[in-house]
Amino acid sequence: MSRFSNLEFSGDAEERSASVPILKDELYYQQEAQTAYESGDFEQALRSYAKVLEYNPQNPAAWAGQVKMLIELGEFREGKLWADKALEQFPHEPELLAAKAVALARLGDIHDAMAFSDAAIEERGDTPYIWLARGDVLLAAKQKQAVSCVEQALVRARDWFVHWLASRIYYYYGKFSLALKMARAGVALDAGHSCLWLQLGYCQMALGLASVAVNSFQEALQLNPQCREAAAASARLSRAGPVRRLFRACRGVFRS
Amino acid sequence: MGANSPTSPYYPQRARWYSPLFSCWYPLRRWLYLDWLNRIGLGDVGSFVLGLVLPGWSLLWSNRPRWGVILGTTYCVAAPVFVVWRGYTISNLALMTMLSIHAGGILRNEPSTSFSRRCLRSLAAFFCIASLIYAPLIQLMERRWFVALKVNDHVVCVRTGVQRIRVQRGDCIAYQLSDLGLRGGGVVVNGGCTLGKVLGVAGDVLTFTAQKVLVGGQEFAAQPYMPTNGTVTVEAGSWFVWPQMNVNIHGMGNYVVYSTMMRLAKVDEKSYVGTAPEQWLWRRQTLP
Repeated sequence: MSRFSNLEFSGDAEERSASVPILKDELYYQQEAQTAYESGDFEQALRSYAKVLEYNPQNPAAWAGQVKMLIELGEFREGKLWADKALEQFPHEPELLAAKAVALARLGDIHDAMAFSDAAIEERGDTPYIWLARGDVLLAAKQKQAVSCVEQALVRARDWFVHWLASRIYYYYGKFSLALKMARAGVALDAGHSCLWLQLGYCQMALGLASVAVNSFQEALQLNPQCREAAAASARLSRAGPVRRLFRACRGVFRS
Repeated sequence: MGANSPTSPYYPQRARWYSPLFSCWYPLRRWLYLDWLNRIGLGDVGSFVLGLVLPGWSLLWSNRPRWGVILGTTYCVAAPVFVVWRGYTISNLALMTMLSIHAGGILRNEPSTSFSRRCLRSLAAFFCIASLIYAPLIQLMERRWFVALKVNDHVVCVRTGVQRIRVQRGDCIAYQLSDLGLRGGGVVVNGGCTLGKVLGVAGDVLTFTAQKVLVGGQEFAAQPYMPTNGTVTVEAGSWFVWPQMNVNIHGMGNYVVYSTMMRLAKVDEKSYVGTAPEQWLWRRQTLP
């Protein structure tokens, strides 16, 4: 053993860690997909879930994840088609049934969406997503029970991620006050996520709270300087003229 | 493995640039709160009334909302086409389209309804709509707004609802000839609505020469079969309008035609239909 072997030089740690081969398997890509999902990078998450399926096509979570990503990307028709394909293999998978229910609800097929949501719950699906999906479907149907379904999801996992998802659902259906409440609760639980601040900013902007929205976007940018959406929203707010500001303020009054 | 490429079997097919067009209807419906109306139990009576009031658009509240947009838009396009090009073939086609859409909108055929029954019901609805709604509406339009006449292969739109008192010398008016139709004495005058220029109003004295007609200091060109001399005084409650018509003479003297035309030229104010303007919408009209 060399007598210099215990000495530390700059860059030594990196070299050693680089030399350790990373095993890129199903689990690795599953983790990558989840990380991308949690950071709001739905395109990357979609690709990572595809990788997971290449390693293991019998992974229902990856199929469900892909459908969820398509929904988050606003591609409901494609989400529904992909859910159909996945359900051919896993007809009793609760998360897949729930994801298809969401896709159908957002396409306006409330009747079928409700049936799939029922099926997801009947399959003993008890994950937060299934209840969020139920809330999504009920919001599409403009039913008041939607709020209690979202609460059920939060009971099952009181973490920032579920709050963020709930906020996104409320935001999609134009329930900005509820969306803001969820985003704030999420930030209170864990303020270290850029996408959460971004969501908070969007909700504040929708309610005409432009000044606080700028702060939220700035927070999102601090946590993730690469976040283009936050930069664009912040720039848009700072560029807003007096007429637009007045319009936003009026909108905030009416929506509050 | 190529999962990043669209060729990967586990990478889902993505939305195309035109994909949002297929799903834009539902957000629009939510924005317009039409989905709220959809959940109201319309029932048979409700859908019938809706179909009657909103031709084509009533399908928005059925399970075929896209057809509602298509047929409703088609109806909205057909209606102005019918009005603007009234008198032309395209107007008739537009009317047929409107009738078909309207009739189709009030029918709710179940999948189990047989083809012959569907045809019968459609025909019945078509004729009911045509006779109970469209015919009275068209009559009202012709009485109050305008009527399109075909004169020498030209379509002339006549503004109806103009007060008779406003008719002046030189105006081109439409009037009913049926009231003056003559049968007997070997002369047949086919009745109908016709156009003519008012040469004299009540109290005017018309002086005929070979080339022109003089009245109240105004001159009008002489027309076929007009007298070449003499004077005529226009009676109260009538106008002097030289009839514009195709004359076919078979084995009788011209004097019979002259005398008939002179009788027809005295137009009773009661047979007045309307006044033909020189310009209708953007079209310049060819008047006699």
